[in-house]
Amino acid sequence: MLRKQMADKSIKATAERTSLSPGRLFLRRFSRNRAAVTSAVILAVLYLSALLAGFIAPYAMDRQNRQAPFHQPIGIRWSDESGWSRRPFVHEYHSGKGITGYEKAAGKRYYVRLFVRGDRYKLLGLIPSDRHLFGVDAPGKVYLLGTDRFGRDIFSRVLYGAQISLSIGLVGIVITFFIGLTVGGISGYYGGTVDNLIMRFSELVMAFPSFYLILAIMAVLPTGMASSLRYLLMICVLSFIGWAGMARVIRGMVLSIRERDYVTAARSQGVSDWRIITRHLLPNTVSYVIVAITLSLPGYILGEVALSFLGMGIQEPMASWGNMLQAAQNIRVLTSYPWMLAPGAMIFITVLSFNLLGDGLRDALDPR
Amino acid sequence: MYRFIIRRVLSAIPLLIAITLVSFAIMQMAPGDFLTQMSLNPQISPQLIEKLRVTYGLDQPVYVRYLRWLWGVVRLDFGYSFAYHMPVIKLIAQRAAATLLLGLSSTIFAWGIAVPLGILAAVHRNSWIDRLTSILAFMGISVPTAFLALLAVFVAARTGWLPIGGMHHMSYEFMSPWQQFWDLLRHLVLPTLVLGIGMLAGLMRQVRSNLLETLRSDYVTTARAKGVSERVAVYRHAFGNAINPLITIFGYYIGDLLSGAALVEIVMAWPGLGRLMLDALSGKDIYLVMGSLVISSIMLISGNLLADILLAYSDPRIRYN
Amino acid sequence: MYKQLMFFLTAVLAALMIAECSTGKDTPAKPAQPVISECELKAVSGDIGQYGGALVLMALSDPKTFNPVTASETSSTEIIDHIFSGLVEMNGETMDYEPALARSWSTSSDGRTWTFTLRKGLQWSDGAPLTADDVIFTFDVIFDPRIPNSTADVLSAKGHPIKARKIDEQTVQITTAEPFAPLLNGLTTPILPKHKLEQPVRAGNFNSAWGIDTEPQKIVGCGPFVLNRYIPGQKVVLSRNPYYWKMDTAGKRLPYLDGLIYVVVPDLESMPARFMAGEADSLSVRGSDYAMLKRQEKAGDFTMYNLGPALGTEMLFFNMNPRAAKLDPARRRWFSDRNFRRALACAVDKKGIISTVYDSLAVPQNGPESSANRVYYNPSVPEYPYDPARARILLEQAGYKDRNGDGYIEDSSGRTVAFTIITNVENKERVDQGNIIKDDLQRLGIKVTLAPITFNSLVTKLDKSSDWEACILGFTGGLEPHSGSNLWKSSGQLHIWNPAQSAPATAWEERIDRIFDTAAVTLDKEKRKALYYEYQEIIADELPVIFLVTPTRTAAIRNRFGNLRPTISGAFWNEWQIYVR
Repeated sequence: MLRKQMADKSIKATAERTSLSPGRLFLRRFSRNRAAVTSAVILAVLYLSALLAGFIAPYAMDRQNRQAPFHQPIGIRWSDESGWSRRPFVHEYHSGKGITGYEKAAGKRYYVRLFVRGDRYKLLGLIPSDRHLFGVDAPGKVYLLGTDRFGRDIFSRVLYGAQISLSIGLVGIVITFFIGLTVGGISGYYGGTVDNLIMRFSELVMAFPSFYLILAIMAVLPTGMASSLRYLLMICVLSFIGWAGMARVIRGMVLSIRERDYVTAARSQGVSDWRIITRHLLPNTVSYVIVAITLSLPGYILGEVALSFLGMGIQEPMASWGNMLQAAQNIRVLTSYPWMLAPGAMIFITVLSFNLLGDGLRDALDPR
Repeated sequence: MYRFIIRRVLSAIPLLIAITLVSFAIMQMAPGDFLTQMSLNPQISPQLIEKLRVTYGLDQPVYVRYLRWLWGVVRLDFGYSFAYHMPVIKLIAQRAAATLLLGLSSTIFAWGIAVPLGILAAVHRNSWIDRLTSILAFMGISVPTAFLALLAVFVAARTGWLPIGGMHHMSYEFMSPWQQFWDLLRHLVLPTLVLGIGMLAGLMRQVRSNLLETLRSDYVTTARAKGVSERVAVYRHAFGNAINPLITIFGYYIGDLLSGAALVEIVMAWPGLGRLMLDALSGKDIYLVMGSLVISSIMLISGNLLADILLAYSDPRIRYN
Repeated sequence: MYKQLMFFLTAVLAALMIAECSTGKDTPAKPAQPVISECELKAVSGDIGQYGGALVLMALSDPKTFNPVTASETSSTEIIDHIFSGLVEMNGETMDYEPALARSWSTSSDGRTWTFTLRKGLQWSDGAPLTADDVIFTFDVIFDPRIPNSTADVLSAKGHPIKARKIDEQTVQITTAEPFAPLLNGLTTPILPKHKLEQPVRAGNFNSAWGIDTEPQKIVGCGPFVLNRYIPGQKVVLSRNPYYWKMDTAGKRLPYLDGLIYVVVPDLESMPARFMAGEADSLSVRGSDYAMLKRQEKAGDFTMYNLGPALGTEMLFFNMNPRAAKLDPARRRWFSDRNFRRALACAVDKKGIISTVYDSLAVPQNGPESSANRVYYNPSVPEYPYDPARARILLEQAGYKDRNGDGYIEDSSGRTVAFTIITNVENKERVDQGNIIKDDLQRLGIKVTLAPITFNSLVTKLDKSSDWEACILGFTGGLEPHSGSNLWKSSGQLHIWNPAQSAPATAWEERIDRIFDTAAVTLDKEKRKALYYEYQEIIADELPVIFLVTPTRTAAIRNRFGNLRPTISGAFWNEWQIYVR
């Protein structure tokens, strides 16, 4: 015990010598990594706009305009044939002949106004409101990213979809990784019978027919329940059986790390098992874990597409990036209405940001 | 080591029984059975459905059906498929080879590319090659595999460079062995690519990050300080340690060989287990599902065992008892 | 490019036939040259074609069995239908029943005894004679209690199986407990070869006989084609049956084609690509691909045929079941109110559904029979055209209006009108329709939740627990209205809004029951027609269900075939006389 205190003291002394606290050191190192900082900002913006989706989106998630299916994006402009304007505006479009798309109607400008009244929504799910950040007067329409088959505004749907796609993955990851790290750490550290039992159990869990498990859960939940809530519940259940893969990898790494000198040393000094696992073994897996987290995030976002296909994902008319991308999986859509791919771009940006952020965090945490 | 392997193989038997028991129970919890699909057809009377239910033994209590099935399995009879009126094993055998072939080719492709590219990216960190492979990897994992498969089908149809789908040409039966081999290779290209890209992206990132980690560790620094060449430092000292999590991951790929390709198989008309299993799952053709479950469980268990053996081999410090 | 490919395919098929013969060399008993006896062939009118060539089609999934009796889904029956024939067959154009294996038939004056005379000299595809014994055997199999099958239902009048008796080698007499009008519909069922299938029936393993692992040569049929080879997950090859019982007007034995090839393409999205690349001769066109294909019509050397509306019904219906314990009584009250349902019918934008969901390849539906049913469809039933203003007025008159200014309407007791619509998630069109209906009803001030769930959950809810409020679903239909009796009769299990009633709950349901019972025993076609016309009018007027739209079918077919007469019964329903030009 005494020895341990001495060891802790010497570590502190080293830190003091560098004259900066570990937290400050971490921040400094992190802020030097421009890619990571940019990613953090992008993610912050994404999460904030998801939170305020109802306010930022000009239309409700399910507001249909059957006269304007697959409308191309309408840009906000400052000028047209008749010259410049001091206020931004949009043009009106008319449906062209047949399926050829929409043609710009010359002349009429619809000025973009701030804090306009529109569809009702609940800010943060609590405060009812009908004010939107921006909008145009009827019959003008502002479709920043175009519309889908039902004439719904894709920009608005991407924002609402972000609420689901950005949060659900995190919930799943938190559960999976918490259990995976703990179980993997214990299994690898103790080895022997404990390891054998835990790993056989993990194999049992991995072989679960999750398809039927989900079906069974879905059948029990009431149909009137919001599909986002249903999906969240399902993700929780999937995560509770999804830790096995994670645990196996961590266990494999811990099996190796526990034989290293410093672990043996810590053990001989009487450091508690729990402390060895959490302080000495698991931190050594951080490289793997960070990448695994950033890689499994799109898995959660896209996995929903496959689940929707089987009737278990987020259901129409709710929006999620997964089911929006699903709607774009058709060759006609790809060739004629490429704006339907907007959610794909959002997924890419999110994944990229999370990965760069992950890299930056690891570098900043691990000064070697 | 031999005792370890024998113990693991023996422990697989109770494990398999537990897996089938739990799976069977979960399947019963999901609503409906194989005959539910018929019940909204006005031409099929409820009496007929009841009769069929008796014929298929679906009127029996769950435990009776499970025990009957288990007794069958002991005698290597995995039961009949309701949809096909045929032994499950025959059905799976008809198609497993195609799935295995695709699984193996895409695994080899993905690992064969991911490992060297990951090493390259780690060694030349922050270089253009690192950035390019990263961006490609992120693009790869942002696109659903089924979507990619569909794109491949259309590119093939537009260009005519490669077959649009399927595994053999219409006249495969009349080709010489060499032509047959060449034909198969051409048909393999697109599905392998599509399936491989999905795996590749994640693997490459893992190789890169684990190698980065070990490259910065003390013993590699020591080795470098001792004047060991960079090549030796990377390949002998760093890579050996970076590979640990990959070995475990490799274990799952084996467990996943039979089921991982279903969507790609369906879009690209690959005659594997994909459609068969998807129909069986959604139609509740339970013995067919159970049959494939047993096979994939066996593959999963042996994949994990193989991974454990490889782990011990790659890192002599690892002991299992 | 394309021509070359087709030439090549034909060559492949020829090679297949040769291969078949050459394998015969290995077996000690070399198959004898077909001994084709004189047969009373059925002459079909049309162009005189030439022999040879093959038709390449795409199938979404593999056949599950080649057993005509146990086959229960279309991927199997589609193949089997080429291999077998029934006593009678339906003309794909007139939709009338015509002689097939039976040359002619007569009905006794009391309408209970039917006498069928087989063609002389009929042969199975292995050369064995096809006689009355085979017909009797077929009915024995169908009514064998160990062999559950749906044909037994179709061939039962009020639960009493028909009785078949052999008069001589060529004559079969069928008696029914009472006059049974849908009999001919049931007699299109395939006739089975006794000499091949008697053994499995005796051994008690008929249900698994002729599975997909059966050697193709062992499957013996009497249809225009026989099974040549089946490669799981890849293709089914059918070749010409030299013993088929039809001829053209010049006396040439049909079919003209050497064979049919079904390529398994398990994904709908990739089918158009396959077709455009020239790997198939025909494509069932979906709305989303229509425009793209239309542009390619000339360059791709194919023609798009509009086959008209499909059979079957898509509808929105409500739970009015008084025994449904979980159903809120207020909801049952709204749903049981005919004016409420009529108002909702006016609020559903069918045109919007047609253009948005089906890309204009659909027609509105107003009554229980599809307009594809040329014989029984009643074109003048009450209609409820899209008119939101009228819907609002109807609702107000019936006592549903916004009483507290919250934007949602309330009933007379102040309850907000809100309900959940379920549909099966596997059917994307239905989910899309639900989306539109939800939006339409929301505009009226009705709070609607759309809940797509899996088919099995849906059935469990409809069937067992009655735990549902509203539902969008389609039912497979047939040309014979009688086959819908399980749906429309008040005692039917599928009388979904209030199923399995012990006595009809309303006067009009009683009337429908009587119509179905009477029409089943009425052999006079005109009388039946009048009865079924009346039933369509009553349903459309009482509106227990709100009919939505019927998709129309379009087929794209290569311009290299003669005698093409595609109809809704099938693009190649007259496959025996189609030839390669």
